[in-house]
Amino acid sequence: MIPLAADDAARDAEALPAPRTGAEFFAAIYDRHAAQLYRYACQRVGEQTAEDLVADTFLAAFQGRELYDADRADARPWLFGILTRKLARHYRTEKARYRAFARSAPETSTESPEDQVAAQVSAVAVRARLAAALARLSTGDRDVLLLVAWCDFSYEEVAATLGIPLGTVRSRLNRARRKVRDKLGGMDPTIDPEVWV
Amino acid sequence: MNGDMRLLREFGEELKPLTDQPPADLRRRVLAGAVPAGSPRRARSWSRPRLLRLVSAAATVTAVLGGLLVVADARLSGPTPGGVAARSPGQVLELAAEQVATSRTTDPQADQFILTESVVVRQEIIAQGWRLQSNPTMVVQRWQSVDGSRDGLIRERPADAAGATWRIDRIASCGDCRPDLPIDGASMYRFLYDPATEGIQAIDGGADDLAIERVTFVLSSGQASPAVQEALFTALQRIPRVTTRARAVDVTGRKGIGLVYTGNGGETELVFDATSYRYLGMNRKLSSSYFEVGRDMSVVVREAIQRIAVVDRVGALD
Repeated sequence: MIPLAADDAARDAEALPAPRTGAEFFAAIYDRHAAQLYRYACQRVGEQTAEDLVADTFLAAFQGRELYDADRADARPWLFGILTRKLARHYRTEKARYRAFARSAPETSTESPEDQVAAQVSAVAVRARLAAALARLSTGDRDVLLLVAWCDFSYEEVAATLGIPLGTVRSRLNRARRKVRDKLGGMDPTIDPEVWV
Repeated sequence: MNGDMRLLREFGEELKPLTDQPPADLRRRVLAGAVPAGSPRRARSWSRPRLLRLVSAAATVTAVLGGLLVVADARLSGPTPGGVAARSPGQVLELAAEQVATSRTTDPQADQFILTESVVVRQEIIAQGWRLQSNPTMVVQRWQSVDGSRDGLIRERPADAAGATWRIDRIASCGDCRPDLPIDGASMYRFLYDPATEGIQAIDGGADDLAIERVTFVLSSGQASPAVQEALFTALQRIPRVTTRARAVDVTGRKGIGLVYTGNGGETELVFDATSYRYLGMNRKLSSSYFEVGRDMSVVVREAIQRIAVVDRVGALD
C-alpha cells in the first residue's frame, strides 16, 4: 500500500466539498485512491465485479460530495466506507470465491503420518483453510479483518470507515482472528511461522 | 505482525489483480460516467432503475467535469502508456502500437540487418500414452537483411548453457524473407487477408486463421522491425475473435497480458507486457489438424523475444 503524504491527505478535504474546483480535485482523488480501492475490491470479489464496484463507489462519492465531512483530512476512509457498503451486496460472490479457493487444496490424507505432515505444511492447504475461514466469517467481522490485513488500516481508520466505535473494531477483529486461527487447525502459526509457508 | 495476520496478508497478495492500476477505461467511466459501447455484460446486468441512476450520474459528472475528458483521453493516448491497464484486445493493441511508435528511433536502411534474439522451445504432446517430447529451450539469434539482398544468419545454442558453442545456419540468399512487408496498418491488413499474398497458404482454415498465421510468421521471421510491428498491431485490431487473457506468461516466465486467437489449427497467444505493452512473445498450441498428420498430437511452440535491434552487418550485436 502506498500511504498518502500528509499534504495529499489535506488536499482531499479541501477538494471534495468545493463546487468550483470539485471536478478537478475529484479527478485527482480518483488518481490517488482508485488503485487502492480497485486492488481491495479485486481481492474480495475478483476483477470483473471490482471494476463495477469501484465505478459505482466514485459515482456515489461524487454525488454525495456535499455530505463529506470537511474536517476529515483523508478521503480514504470515506471512499472505503462506500466501497464496503457496496461489497456487502456481493457477499455471495465473495463467499463463492473463498469457497473455490478452499476447494482447490488437496484433500488431507490420513493414510500415513507423513501425508498428514505434508498436508499441514503445504502452503496451498494453509491458503485453503484461510479461504474457508473467511467464507464463514460474518460480513462485519470480515470487513474489519480485511481492512486491517489487506489495507493496513489502523483501528481508528477502520472505525471511521465502517462508522463503528473503536471498541467494536477491537472486538470484531479479535473474534475474526480467533476464528481464523481455529480454522488453521488449532495450531498457532506464530510459534513457528516458517512451517506454514 | 502475528502469524495469522501475516498469512492473511500473503493470501491477499495472491488475490491482487495483475497490475496495481485499475483498467484504463474505468477512469473514463468514472470521469465521464460513460458505459463502454458494446459491453453486453454490463448491459445485461444493469437493471433499468440502476441504469437510469447511472445515466443521471453520468450526465451530472459529465456536465461538471467537462474538459476533463480531454485530459483523460490525452493520458490514454500519450507517449507513455504505462500506468493504465488495458482490457479489450483493441486497447492492448492500440497501446502496443503506440509503444512501438514511441520507442522507434530511426528506420532501418536497406543495407542493414534486423537482429532478433529470442528464446524458443518446442514440445510435442502425443495423445497416445500422453507422451511429452520436449526439445531443449534454445536461444536463437537471427540477422535478416532489411531489403533481402544479402545473406542473413541464424545461430542458436541451448538456453541453459551460456558457454555452449553456437550452431550456425547461414540463410541462403533471402530465405523466406519478405522485404516488402507493409509498414502501415491498412496495407498490413490487406497483406494478412489477401489470398494473392505469396507464401503461408497451407492453412486448413478460414481467412482469419490464415491472417493469424501470417501475423505469427511476421513476428517470428526476424523481419518485424519497429515499423512493421506497429503496422501489424494496428492491423491485428481488425481481426475478429481475439480475446484477452489476464495472466499470460512467456517461455522465460515474464508475465503479461495475452491476446488469444483460437482457430482451426489450434490456439495462438501473443503476450504483451502489462505495463509498457511491449510485445514479449507468443505461445502456440497447434493440433493435429494443423499438421495434417494421422495421429492425435499437439505441438506447443513458445517464443520470447529478448531484443530487436538494427545492425550494420551480419553477426554484429549492436
